[in-house]
Amino acid sequence: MNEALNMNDLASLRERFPLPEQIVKLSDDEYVGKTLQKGPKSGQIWLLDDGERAEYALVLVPGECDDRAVVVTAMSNDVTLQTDDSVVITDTPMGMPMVIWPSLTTVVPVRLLKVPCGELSEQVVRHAIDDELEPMPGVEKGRLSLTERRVTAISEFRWRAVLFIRWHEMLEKLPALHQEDAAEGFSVADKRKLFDAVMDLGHSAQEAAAVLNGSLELGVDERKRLIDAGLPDSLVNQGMSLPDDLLVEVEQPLWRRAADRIAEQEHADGRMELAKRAKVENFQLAARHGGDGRSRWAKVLHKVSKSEDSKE
Amino acid sequence: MGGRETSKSTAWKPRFDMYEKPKHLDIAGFNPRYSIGEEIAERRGPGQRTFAALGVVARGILHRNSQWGWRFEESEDCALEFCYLQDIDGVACLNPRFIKLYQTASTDEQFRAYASKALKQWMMNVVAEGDYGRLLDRLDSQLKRDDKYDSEQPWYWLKGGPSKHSDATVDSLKPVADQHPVDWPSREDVELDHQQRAQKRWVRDSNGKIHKEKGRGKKFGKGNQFKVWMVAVFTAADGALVVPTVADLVVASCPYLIGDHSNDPQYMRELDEVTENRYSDKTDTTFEEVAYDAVAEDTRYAAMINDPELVEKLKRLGLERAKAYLNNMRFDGSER
Repeated sequence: MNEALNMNDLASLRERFPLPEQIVKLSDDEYVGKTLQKGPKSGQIWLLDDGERAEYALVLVPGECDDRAVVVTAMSNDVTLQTDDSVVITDTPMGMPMVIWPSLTTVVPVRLLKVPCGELSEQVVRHAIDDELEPMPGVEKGRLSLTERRVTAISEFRWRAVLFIRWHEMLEKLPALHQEDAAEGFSVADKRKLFDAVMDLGHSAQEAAAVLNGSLELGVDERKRLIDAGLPDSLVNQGMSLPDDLLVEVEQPLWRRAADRIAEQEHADGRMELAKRAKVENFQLAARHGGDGRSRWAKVLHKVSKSEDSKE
Repeated sequence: MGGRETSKSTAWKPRFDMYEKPKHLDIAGFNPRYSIGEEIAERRGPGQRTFAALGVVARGILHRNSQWGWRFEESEDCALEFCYLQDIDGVACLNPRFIKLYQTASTDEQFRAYASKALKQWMMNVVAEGDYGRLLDRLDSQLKRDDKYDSEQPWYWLKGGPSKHSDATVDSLKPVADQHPVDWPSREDVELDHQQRAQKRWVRDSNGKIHKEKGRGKKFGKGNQFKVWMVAVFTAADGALVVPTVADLVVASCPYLIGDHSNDPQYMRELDEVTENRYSDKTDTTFEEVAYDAVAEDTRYAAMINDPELVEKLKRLGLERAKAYLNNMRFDGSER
C-alpha cells in the first residue's frame, strides 16, 4: 500500500474516479427493455451470471443449433488481466477499455445472459477476433504484465477458462426437446384408472384429461393420495410434458428475473417451474385464446410472471 | 435468432409491462429496494451504505481466513481498497470488479452475496501479488548483485553469452531447471515468513510512500544451489530473460511460495467455494481439476493457441476460437 486510503477522502475519490457515465446510461429503461425483448444479437456485450459468479462476454452467434444456446467469447472490464492471447478494445459502450479472449469462445445456455451492456460495431468485433485483418486503432493485442499483476492475470485466465467450460457443460442439463406424450406407454385400463381417480380428487373431466396428456400436473399431496390408492407410481409421477416452443421461450433472458425469483423462493429450477406454470395457465386460457408458437408462450409467460410479482 | 414472430408493419415500441427492470435500474428513486445500487448510481461511486455492506462481508472473510491478517488489518480499509485500486503512484482507479458487482446485483441481498465472492477472489489475488512482487524484487536484486550477469532492463543474460532475447518458455526451461535440485523453503517456512511480515511496521520511505518494512524471506536452497540453478536456466535460455520468466519458473518449482495458490492444485480447492453455483449439482471437483490442468498446461499462454495438441484438448472441453464463428455472425446495423 502506497498511500493510506481514508474514508474522509471518499468524496474526493468519487470525484476523481467516478463510475463511468456510460455504465449509468446502460441502465436506461428503454435500452434494457428493448434489448431483453429482442433477445441477444451478434456484437452485444452481456453480463453472464450463474447465480454465484458473473463475467462479461461478447455474443458472437445467438441460437447456434438451438435457440436456447448462444456462442460467446469471454471478456473483462479489467485490462490488467490481459494476456498474450487477448485483445484490448479501448472504446467500448461501457465507457472503459475491455479485454477479450478469442481463445475462450464456447456455446453456453442463453439463460446465463442477465444484463445487456451495449454493443460493439461489426468492424471492431471482426478486428478483435480475426488476427489476419490489418490492425485498426482502438483494437490492440494484449500483453501479459511484467509486474506483480502477472500472477493474477495468469490465475484469472485459467479460472475464467474453467468457468466458461463449466457453463458450456450446463447445456447438457437443459431439458430435452420433443418430449413425448406423457401417458404414452401405459395401458388403456391404467389411463382410465388415472382419469377416474383424478375426477375423484375433485377435478373436472377437462382437468383429468389434461393430467392424462401431460398438460396439467397434480400437486405433491394429490399424487401421494393416488399412489396410496394403488395407482402405478410411474403413471402418477409421469410429469408434465412441455412443448418445444415453451421450453425455448422460457430460456430467454427476458424471463430471467421471474425464474430467479421462483428459484430463490422455492429452491427449484426456476425455468422449469415457470414453464410448468405457463403450461397450466395456457390450459386455463385455452378456451379463450388461440395461437401457438413462441410469441404465444411469451404472452402466457408474461401473465404468469406478473402474477408471481403480485404474490410479493 | 429465430423464434419470436414480429410483424414488420408494426414499429417496435418498448413494452414496459412485459419487462420489470432490475431494481438498481430504478435510479429515479421510486421503488428503491436495491438501495446500494441506487447509492452507487447517484453518487457515481460507493457511499456509506455500500461500505457498510462491504465492511461486513470483508470482516466475515477475514474471520474465516485469518492467514491473510498480515495483509488486511481492518475490514473497513479492505473494503475501501477493494473499491479504489492503488498502484505504485497511489490511487489508480475505481476497481473494475466493483463496477461489475454493481451491474450484476439487482437487490441488496444479491449485492452482499456477489460481494463475498468478488471480495474473496480479489483478496486472494492481492496476497498472491504481494508475494509475487517480492519474488520479482528479490530475483532482480540478486541478478543485479551477481557479476555473472549483464543487464539492459528488464532483460538479463549471462556475461559472455548471447544478449538476444531468448524465446525460451517456462515449459521449455523447467526440465533443465529440474536437473539442478534446490531445497526450496517448506510450506511451514513460507507460512512463518508471512507471520513475521505481519509483525513488521508500515514505514514511509524517502519518496513519502508508505510500505511494510522489508524482510529477507527464506533462502532458496542450501549453499549456492540456487545460483547454480540460475546459471543452468540462463545457459539453457541461450539469451536474455526477463525476471518474470525466472519468477514463473521458481513458482512452477515451488508453487506455495505465492499466496495460497498460483500453480498449486490448492488454488482450485480454494476456488471451489467460489465457483459452486445453483445450476450445477456437481459435488466433486474432478471436472474442474481436469479442465484446470488442461488450461494450465502451458504456463505462458502465448504458445497456447499454437499448440495443436492443447487446442484439441480444450476443444474437447468445449472451448473454441472465436474465428471459427466469423461467418455465422449477423449484425443488424448496430445501435448502442
